[in-house]
Amino acid sequence: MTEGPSPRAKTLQRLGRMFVIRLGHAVFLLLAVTIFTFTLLHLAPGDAAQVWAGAQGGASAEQIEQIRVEYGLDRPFPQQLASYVGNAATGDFGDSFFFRQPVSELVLARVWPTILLVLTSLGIAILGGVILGVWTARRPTAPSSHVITAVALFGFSAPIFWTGIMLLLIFSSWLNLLPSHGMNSVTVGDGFFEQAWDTFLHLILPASTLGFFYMAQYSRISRVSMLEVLGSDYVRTARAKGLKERSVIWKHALRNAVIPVVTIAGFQVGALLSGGILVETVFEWPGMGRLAFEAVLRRDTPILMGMLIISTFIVIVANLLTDVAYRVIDPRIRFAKP
Amino acid sequence: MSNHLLEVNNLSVSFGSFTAVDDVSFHLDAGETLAIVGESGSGKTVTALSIMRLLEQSSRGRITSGEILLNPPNDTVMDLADLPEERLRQVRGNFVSMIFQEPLTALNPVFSVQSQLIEAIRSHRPVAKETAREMALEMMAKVRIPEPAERLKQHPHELSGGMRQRVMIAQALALNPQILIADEPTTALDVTIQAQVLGLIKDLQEEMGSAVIMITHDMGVVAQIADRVVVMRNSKVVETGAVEQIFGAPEHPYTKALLAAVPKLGSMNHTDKPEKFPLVEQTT
Amino acid sequence: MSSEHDPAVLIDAVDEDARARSPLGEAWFMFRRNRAALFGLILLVAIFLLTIFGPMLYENEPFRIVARPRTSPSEGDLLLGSDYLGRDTLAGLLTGGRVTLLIAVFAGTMTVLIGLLIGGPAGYFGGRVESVLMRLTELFQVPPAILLAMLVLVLWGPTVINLVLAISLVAWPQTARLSRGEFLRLRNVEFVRAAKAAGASDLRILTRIILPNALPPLIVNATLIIGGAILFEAGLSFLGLGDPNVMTWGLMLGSSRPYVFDTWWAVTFPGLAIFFTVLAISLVGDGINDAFNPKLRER
Repeated sequence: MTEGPSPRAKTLQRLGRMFVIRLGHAVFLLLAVTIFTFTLLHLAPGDAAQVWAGAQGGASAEQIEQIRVEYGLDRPFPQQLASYVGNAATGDFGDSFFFRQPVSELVLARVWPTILLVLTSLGIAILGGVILGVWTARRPTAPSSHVITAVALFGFSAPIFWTGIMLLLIFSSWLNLLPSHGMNSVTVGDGFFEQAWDTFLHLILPASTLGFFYMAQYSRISRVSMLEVLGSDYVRTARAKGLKERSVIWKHALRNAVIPVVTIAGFQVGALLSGGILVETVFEWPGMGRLAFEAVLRRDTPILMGMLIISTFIVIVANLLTDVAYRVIDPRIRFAKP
Repeated sequence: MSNHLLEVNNLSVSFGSFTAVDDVSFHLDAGETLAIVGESGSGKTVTALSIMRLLEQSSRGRITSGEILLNPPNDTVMDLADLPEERLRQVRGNFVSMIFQEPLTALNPVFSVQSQLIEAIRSHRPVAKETAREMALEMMAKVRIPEPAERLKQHPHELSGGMRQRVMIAQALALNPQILIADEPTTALDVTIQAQVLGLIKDLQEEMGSAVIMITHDMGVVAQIADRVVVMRNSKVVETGAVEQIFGAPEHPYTKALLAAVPKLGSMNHTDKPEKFPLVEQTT
Repeated sequence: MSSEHDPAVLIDAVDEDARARSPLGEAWFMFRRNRAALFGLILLVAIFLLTIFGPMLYENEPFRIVARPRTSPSEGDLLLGSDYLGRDTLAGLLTGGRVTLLIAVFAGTMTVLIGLLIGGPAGYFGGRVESVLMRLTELFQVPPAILLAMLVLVLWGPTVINLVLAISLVAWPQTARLSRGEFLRLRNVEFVRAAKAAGASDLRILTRIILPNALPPLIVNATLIIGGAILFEAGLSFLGLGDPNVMTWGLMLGSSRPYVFDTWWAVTFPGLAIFFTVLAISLVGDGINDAFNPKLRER
């Protein structure tokens, strides 16, 4: 099983090979999504150049013609596709007709606020969900557990943007506790900490909205898996060897119970981005969601296409990281095929 | 006050309205091996788990009456049935250890063997991690695991069933407990490995001087290892006695039936169904 | 854990009387005993009745301006007030609910059909068929659902039919994965092997033997999809991609959102309607799930 000079080097080598396979798969997937996206543009009714310019862009016939030539939309489809994919590979998704700016620049400027929002929400959701899940799994019949289970069910029965609006009404409009929109106040000073604090205040409502929605799901998942783990033989062993209950629960049980949570959380980054788009629109958070909303208003197709591909890229990277994470947590599947 | 190492008096345990252990009494002396025999559902495992007080969290069983007196040589007598959680914790794995039927699931799959052994040692002894590691290594050698240093770094899923049960034994005996409770420790193992593990428990018991409570349904195991026997059926003790007495002159009809069920050498002669050949343990 | 102290064994003994029934009868028996699920079912039936008969009895032109704009529920004759244009919120809720539920049910049905058609063969045939179909599934699963739906609706135009199509387009991968797993599991079950050995055709095995056995989880999945479709439609309408000519709960939310600080009721009530509907659907879905898997009820 472990012959050979250095098992550790061998392990790393196997992990490396695994990673290369996953990476190849990821590139293939991204390529497929890019081709699919561009094909959609051509499947849609109407002239591609017209669609590209956007229905409400107010483009003149001359401008449409210019777009047609510039993006080669007059050439045969395979050539167009090849040039779009080729450009996309270098990060060029064309220009937005309305903003008169490259799509990549527009999206890139909005990516970081979105990532900040999504990661904060994910943190809230996982941390809160796991704590609540463990709590309810340990006292399945206690009233507090029933309340938590009910609230979890409520949490994902309401439209996420509506929850956001309600929080906005309560905390911003009526109680006047938190800022209602944007990422920074106009009046804030220049100091780094001053700005960071201001951003944090702006982040609270959107991140809680998004986080609570998924916290509900994660608390359910971790409750089920924690219940299963608590009944397992190795938890009994951990108690039998005289470990403190704290260590039995938060070390032996949790490390196992958290595996499905991590897996699901990782594969839900796409859903989180989707939710983020709605939440950003409610709170006017200057991220990709806000941009998507503006793009829809102007029927600005290139932006939507570029965003679809870029966010697919983000999702794929998140999936890769998840794969690594759960191989680290669970040694049994460390070398399992992806 | 008697001077038995462990004394169980009139113990009853129930799950809801179901009485799993009904007015059970027996005792255990230092260094001896007591077998608790019975078919599945007789209450023998529940009895073992209630000595460890492992019923409450894992399966909602409750001790309804009786006492479980532990009388360690240099310590005061304590009633395990009525001990606060923190004192219990100090007893478990330290004075009284337990190994289980399913070695495949008894170890935590996500931690290395090493970290699980070290943790067991360090939760009762204030030693440095390195010292605990050396103790663990020593125990691994003691339970006759080949290449103990390599094995120590592995995770449970990389070891065979027999190997994992040895790790469990190493972990249970690491702190030289007075009592080892073994709940059907060989049932899930291949036949050839069963004998090895049983032999190992016996040897280590002699070497370390622990008393052993062996829970089993197998009279063959009883004959091989036990000094005294408690026979249980339907939650009650039906017969208690020295092993010679139980095998030589069983009183209760149930004990007689149990003994009759043991296959004897040559009993398969002249039958048309051959016994299956036991699989050889697959390690390394 | 050995079975002698397994609480599930004890619980099963109590349920002796439930065993004599047919599988469906037993499921209904289990469902009825689940108070939350029963509550969900009653709530759901009430919502359906309201949206079916409400518009007949009350007002069925939700776009008509019937009152002063921004009449609050407490000041005018309208029970739930009027929105920023003076349209009756209650009329919108009733008539809009009808369309919302129709969209969701159609989208749910279509999603399950697509998922079944892709995932079923993948699980049953395995091999190359499986890898091609699952790659296709992945292609649709990876892009964030709402962006894909937005692009489709911008390109094809936001009509009710396109909404149904867009929702199904982004939701089916989930069902496909589930179907694949179920079909894969059932493929290796004794009675399927027996049918195969007896010379039954693949089509017959798929439709007559495997499909009926895969139904319970698919039904539960369908309820989840329908609940999700209501939320998703609301989200798209909120982003301005609802059909502007057809009132839905989502459209009410979307159009009143800029005026939320002055007309909170026009946003709160459609949201509550969605909330209670989705909640009822989830409760019923959970109930069905538990009824078919009584062992899991403890959880």
